[in-house]
This record gives sequence, C-alpha cells and structure tokens, in this order.
Amino acid sequence: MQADVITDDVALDDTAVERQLKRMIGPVGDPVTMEVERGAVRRMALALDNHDPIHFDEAAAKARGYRGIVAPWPFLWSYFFNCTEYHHDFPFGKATVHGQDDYEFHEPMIVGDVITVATQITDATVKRGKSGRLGVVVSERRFTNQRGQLCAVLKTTLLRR
Amino acid sequence: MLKIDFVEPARKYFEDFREGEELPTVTRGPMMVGHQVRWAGACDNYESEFHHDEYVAKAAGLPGILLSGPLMASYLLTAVTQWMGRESRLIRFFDQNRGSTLPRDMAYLHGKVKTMTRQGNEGIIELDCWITNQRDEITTPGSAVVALPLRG
Repeated sequence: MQADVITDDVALDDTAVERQLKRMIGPVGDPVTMEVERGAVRRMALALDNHDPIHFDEAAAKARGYRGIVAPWPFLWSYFFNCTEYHHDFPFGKATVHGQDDYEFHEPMIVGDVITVATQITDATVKRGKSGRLGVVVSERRFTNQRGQLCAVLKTTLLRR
Repeated sequence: MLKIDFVEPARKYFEDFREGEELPTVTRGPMMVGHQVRWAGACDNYESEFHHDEYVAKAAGLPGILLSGPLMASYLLTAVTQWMGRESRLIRFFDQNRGSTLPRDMAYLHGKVKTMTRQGNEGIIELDCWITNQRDEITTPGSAVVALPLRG
C-alpha cells in the first residue's frame, strides 16, 4: 500500500480525496475478447421480449441488409459483466451506485463476430451531494470487432458515497 | 427449439414523425423477480445477491429486491428501436438510474420527438424517453438519437 493512501476520508478535504480518485484514471486490465454466440443473442432478445426476427433468423437479418444475425444493443451488458472489471477499488466511501449510461453505436455486432472490449477510467471527480461527499467516476468500454471496426462505446458513471 | 412469434418493427420514414410528437406509451409489468432472473441469465451475471434475494436486499437496507438499472434502460432502448421502426439506426442512447424498480412495480415507457434534422440522404431524430412507475415517478430519464431514411 502506498504511504499516502487515504484511510480517513473525514480528516482530508475534497481536493485531497479527488487527487486520490484521479489516480484511477487510465486503462483497467487488458482488453478481453469474446465471440458473439447465437444462443446468447437469442437469450438476450427473449429477456427483453424483443421478437424482431433479425435477432434470431439469419435469412431475416440478411434480408434487412445485415451480414448475419444481429445482437440487440443491450447485449453489450453481457460483455460488461463477462469481459470487464466493474468493481473498482475506491479510496473512500461505503457504497457504489450505478448512476447513468451513455451509449454510442457504430457497426452492428453480428453472430460469429469476435468482439474485443477495452475498459478505461476516463474521469474522476468529487462533488458535494445531499448525503455528503460524492465521488463521480466515469468508465468507458470500447467494443471493436475482428475487422477492427468500432461497434460501440459505453460510458458508465458510478457514484461513490 | 420452439418457434418464436416474430414481430418485425413497422417500416418508418423520417417524414412519419414530427417535432413534439408523443410516441405511444409501452406498458410493462407488473415487473417481477422473473424478469430480473431472465436478465441475469442473458447477462450471465448473478453476482449481486440483492438483485434476486429479498432477504439479502433488506439486510443491506434496501426496500426489497431491486430490478437492475441496465435492464430497465434496455427495455427503454428496445422501445426506441420499435417506435422508430425497422429501417432506423440507433446512434446514441442515454439513461439515468434515478429511481428504483421493485417487484410488482409497473413500468410505463414514454417517448417524445424533440428535434428533427435532415443530414444528407437521411434524417436525424433526437428524442426524449423515460420510464414512469405506478406512482407517476420518473425512475429512468433518458434520450436517444436515431437515423431514419427519407421517404425520398
């Protein structure tokens, strides 16, 4: 453990805590790769009652101009949980809340594609909320397919109290 | 494998919408633990016990099992793609987990066209979308940007 790691968040001011938090900014682990599986796409579509045939049937997807069966965009969450680290070691506070998500969509993810996810912390600030000190940490996950095309960017804001 | 009754979203063009238009509300619910369980299965993620065990949730000071924020947001995102039709291309989506959804809560998915602009050979629609519960509280405010073909 580093000598200046904050152990008492009451004794130190927000500026010191923010400085500590900002050390989290940067890549989180190595990029991770996972194939888009047909059964997994089907399960995700069914979980959301999304019965659009492009998520189940190759002929239907091709008739709509896609290379193959299309993963519904919420499938990004399967990657989030299976391929990326989402518990971060916050230097203060007791509870982490999933605040908001900002999605950017590009090339569709198709069954058989091999998607690589790279995670990084892009921002970390300290605010004063109703219940006192509030850490705001933004993590970004970039999803790229085997052709090197960017499929999506998911920015998740975690709130630390 | 059992056959699925496919429902293809309607074919829509940019000109089918107008600024300020309210999109047809989608009613979901009552939301049940089963919905959360299906979501956990689809994400292959069972880590947060408070998402499926009421005892654990209440011991942690929560009012009960919480349905996942990304699950509710994913319902809303799905509604956007259905409102905008089969020719639409989702460009951006944003959502905030403002209020909790508990088992037996209702979820009403709302949408309203905010701005419409033509860009080259397609139209761009910005819309506000949000989820309310049976108490008319907004649990999930959101927004989306969608590209649509022009009728031509």
